[in-house]
Order: sequence, then C-alpha cells, then structure tokens
Amino acid sequence: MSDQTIKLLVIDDEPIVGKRLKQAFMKMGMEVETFTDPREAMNTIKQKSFDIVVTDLKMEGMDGMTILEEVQKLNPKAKVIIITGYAQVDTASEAFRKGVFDFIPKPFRLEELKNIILRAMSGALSESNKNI
Amino acid sequence: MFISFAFRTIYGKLILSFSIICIISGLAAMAAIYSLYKVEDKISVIESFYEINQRILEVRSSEKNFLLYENKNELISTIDKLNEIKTSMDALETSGIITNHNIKNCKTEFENYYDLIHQLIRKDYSEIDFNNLKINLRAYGHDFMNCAMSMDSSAKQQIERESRNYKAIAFILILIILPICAMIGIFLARWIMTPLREIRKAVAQVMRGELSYIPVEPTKKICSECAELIDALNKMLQALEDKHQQLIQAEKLMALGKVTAGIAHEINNPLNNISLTAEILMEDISNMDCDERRGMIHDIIVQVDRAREIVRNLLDFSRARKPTDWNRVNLGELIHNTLGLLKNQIRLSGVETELNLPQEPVTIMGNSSQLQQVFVNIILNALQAMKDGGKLRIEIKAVSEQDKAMIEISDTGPGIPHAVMEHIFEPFFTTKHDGTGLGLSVSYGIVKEHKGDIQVISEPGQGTTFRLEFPLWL
Ligand SMILES: Nc1ncnc2c1ncn2[C@@H]1O[C@H](COP(=O)(O)OP(=O)(O)OP(=O)(O)O)[C@@H](O)[C@H]1O
Ligand SMILES: [Mg+2]
Repeated sequence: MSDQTIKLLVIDDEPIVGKRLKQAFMKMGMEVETFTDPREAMNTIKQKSFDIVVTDLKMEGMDGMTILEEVQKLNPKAKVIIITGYAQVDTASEAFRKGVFDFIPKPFRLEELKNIILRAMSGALSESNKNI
Repeated sequence: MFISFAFRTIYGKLILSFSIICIISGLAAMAAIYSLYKVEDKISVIESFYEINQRILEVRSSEKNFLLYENKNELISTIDKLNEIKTSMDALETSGIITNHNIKNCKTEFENYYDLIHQLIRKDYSEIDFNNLKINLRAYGHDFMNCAMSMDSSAKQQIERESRNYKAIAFILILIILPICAMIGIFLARWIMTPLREIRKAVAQVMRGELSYIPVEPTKKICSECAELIDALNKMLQALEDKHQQLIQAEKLMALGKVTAGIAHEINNPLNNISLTAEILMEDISNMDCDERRGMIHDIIVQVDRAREIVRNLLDFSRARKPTDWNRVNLGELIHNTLGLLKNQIRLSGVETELNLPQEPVTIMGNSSQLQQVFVNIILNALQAMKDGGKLRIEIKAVSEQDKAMIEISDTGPGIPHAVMEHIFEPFFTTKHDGTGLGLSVSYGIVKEHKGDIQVISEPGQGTTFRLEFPLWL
C-alpha cells in the first residue's frame, strides 16, 4: 500500500509556495518534499523517484525546463507540472513538446492545482493498473 | 509710417536703398540728356555759322566782281544770299545762344552793308558818290565779315567753355554718386548681415546647449523678417525638443518591455503567495492555533508590500516627467530603486551583484526619471552581455577635488570589440538581433543634458565598465 502513496516534489524558490503546498497536499495523504534550491532538488531526484513534480520555471541556478528534462530521463513515468510567474506562449508550447503534464501560470488557485494533480494521480494509477 | 517700415524690415531697407539709387541715377540721366540737348543746339549754331560764313564769302566774291567789272547783276545776285544771312542771324539772336551785344553789333554792320548794296543797285547817285560808295562797299563788307568772324570765334569759344562745364558737372555727379552708392551698399550689407550673424551666433549657442532658444528681442527692432525667421526656428527647436522627449519616453518604455519577465515575476509571485496562503487559511482556520494564523497573515502582508514596491518602482520609472523637472537626486537611492526594478531580471539572468556605496549620500542635480533610464539601459546591456552569468558591480564615488560624482557599472561579459566600440553611442547601432540600438544613444543624450560624461573602458574578453561623471551638488 505504501506504493500507493503519491510522492510529490515541489521546487520553487519562493519558500511560501513550498510551505503551503506541503500543508495542502499532506492533508490529502501525499508524501510531499519541498525545495527552494533547484540544485538540491536535483540531487534528491537522482536518489529518489517521485510520482509528481511541481516546479517553478525561472529559478536561480537552474531552469524548470532542465528539471523537466532531467526528471523524464530518470523517471519517465513521473508527471511534471510547471508553474511560472511569467507565462509565455512559446515557453508553454516548448514545455508541452518536452512532455510536461501541465503548465500553469501564477497566481493559480489551489483548487486548480489540486485538480491537475488529481488528474495526474489517476493517470499514474491507471497506468500502474494497466501494468498490473 | 513708411520710415519705420523701411528701417524695420529687410524689404523696406531694400526698397529705400533702391529708390535712393533710382532717384540719383534718374537725376544723372536727366543731367546727361540736358547737356546732350544743349550740345545739339551748339552744333546747330556752329552749322549756321558755317552757313553764314559761306554766304558771306559768296557775297564778297560777287562784291569783288562788281568792283572790278561794275556789273550790277553781280550785286542783285547777292540780295537773296544777304536775306538768307539775315534770317540766320535772326534765328541766332532768338535762340539766345550768342551774347546779344555781339549780334547787335554785327547786325548794324550788316544793315550798313545791306543798305549800301541797295543804294548801289538803285543807281540814283552821282559819279563821285559812286566812287565813295564803292570804297565804302569794300570797307563795310570787310567790317561785316570781320564782325561775323569774331562772332563765330567767340561763339566757338563759348561753346567750348560750356562743354567743358558739362564735363565738369558730369565728373562732380560721379564723385557725388559713387560714395553715396558705396555707402548705401555698405549699410545695406550691414543692416542685413548683422541680424543674420546674430542668429547664427545664437544657433551655435543653442547647439552647444548654452541657450535653449534663440532670443528675438535684439533683432526685432531692426529686422522684422529676422524676427519671423527666429520665431520659425524657435518653433522648430521646440518641435525637435518635443520629438526628443518622445524618443526618450519611447525608449524608456522599450527598456521596460525588456524587463517584463522580471516585473511579472515580481508581481505574480507575491500574488500567488497571497492567494495560496489565504486559501489554506480559509480551509484550515479552525484547525490552527493563533500563532499559526498570525504567521500566515503576516506572510500575506509582507507579500503585499513586496508587490506594492515593484509597482511603485515601475510607476516611478515609467511616468513621463517633464524634462524641466529637475531636483536633487541622491545617486545611491536612485541606484537602489533601479536595482529594485531590475532585481528579478538580474536574478533570472543568474548574475551576482556587488554594490559599493559611500557612507555619505552623493547628490547631483537632475531629472531622476531620466537618470534612472540611463542606469537601466546600462545595467540591461550588462545583463545582456552576461548571458551565462557573471558579476555586476556598481560603485558610486564622490570625487570632491573635481566636484564630480562618479558611478561605475561593470560587467564580466565578453567586452566590446574595438570595431564596435566607436559605434555604440550611435542611434540604431546594435549587435543584438532584438535590439533597437537606442539604449546608449538616448542615455548619452540624457547624460550630456546633465552636463555629465560617459566613458567606456573595455577590453575584449575582460568585461566592460561604463563610467559616468556628473557635477556634484553640494
Ligand atoms: N556591457 C556591454 N558589453 C558588451 N557590449 C555592449 C555593452 N553595452 C553595449 N554594448 C554594445 O553596444 C551596442 C549598443 O548598445 P545599445 O544599448 O545602444 O543598443 P542595444 O542594447 O543593442 O539595443 P537596445 O538597448 O534597444 O536593447 C550593443 O548592441 C552592444 O554591441
Ligand atoms: Mg541596450
């Protein structure tokens, strides 16, 4: 059953985002890890696999796009959701081309993110079901 | 009325001068025509004298024949000629060219001679008388001829004298007219050139920035066309200045366009933080203790401040200020605000900043919005030069000995190649595919308006330093 616990990784250099998302999704029974430094997050990704990764796009040190690529290389099943404070059509389409699960501009409603994560979860679950 | 018009306009002065020249040359021409007319008269006099002399010679040769052969027909043939001589002399007398008393003398001589010839023709005289008359005839004829000849020569002398007078008059006229014309020429040139030279001087001063418009007053009284010209030039200066300000403002907005990513982040991130915090607070408020709630509300307030700060900076920067809006500007504060505006852009470019401000505030006089535009342009160039990260160093110094404020903005980018260096301040010169090339040219204009100076120190591969100097305000 521990396999069924969804593991969520939140990377955003705004500490409040990590704090609040952790609060919200832990309540939903997920395992949540948050990072404000993308390089630290990278190290963790290399050691541990997550089901869902929520990452900011523009961060000091590393780009959300690099994280997306890296996550897909290490764990193609993981769903990556990009949140960004400056959404541009071409970055969004680039992200979708690279296989992002969803792309949401800040500020977003918690409900919105929850729905997307639920969708990602059901996808992840159905995929794992299919595998069974 | 006309006089004031004449002295106040180039047009009036030209008309006045030309009228004077026309009047003078008209007078000269009239004098010349008058003398020609006179000379013509004299020529006709000389001609009639020639005629008279001719007749007299003919009469006297008939007289000689008569005395030799005593043929009266010879005398009769002289009557017509004598009549002709008489009418010629009458004509001379009425023409008034020959002095009257000369002509009167000759006329009496003529009458005597004429009467004598008539007597001889009439034949009612004795032999003795006839001999006397013959002697007299020769004497009278001789006298008359002498008189006519002397009249002729005196008339010739008189004509010579008069024509010499005309020559003298012509010389005098030339002597009078030449200096008048020269004077008019000189004055005209000075009248027209002086105000034009004034305008040229003022325009040069405007170009050096010592004047902002061309003064009308000094030329207004002497040249109303010049006043109109100055007016038009001033209007053009104003239009240019307006265009210049529009260009500065447009460039500023374009610079803003380049930091939209940073600004959007700086507004959307706090909004997102506020929204998330408020939502969680609403959902979970009953499960939280007071401290937890207070902490979250505090987060919200801090984030609002953060967003307000960037909006304030943004408005400060983008507002179109009057170019005349000059104040004391604290450079440290201005750089601080500029970095506030660009903070996120700098962070997103992965560039480190190092700021060296002196303890004492460094103040200059200027238009803070335009000065900030200069800093934004130079910092943005530095960020664009450090695509792969680097270090942005900003230093402010007061060089008190020179009464100068100095700001140095350095990057660790690739530097500026020598071939590029000489063009960087030219409008529309850019080496970037999305650049307008206006950043540095507009900045240069602004710095010059602040009596400042920009130096660029760059070696390819060594990074670039822009050093700005402004007069200190103490
Ligand atoms: N810090 C710098 N390092 C290297 N090159 C620079 C630097 N600053 C300016 N330049 C050179 O000077 C040129 C002119 O700069 P300027 O700011 O006038 O225009 P731009 O930056 O190209 O266009 P815009 O300002 O509209 O984006 C640049 O294209 C660049 O080649
Ligand atoms: Mg530029």
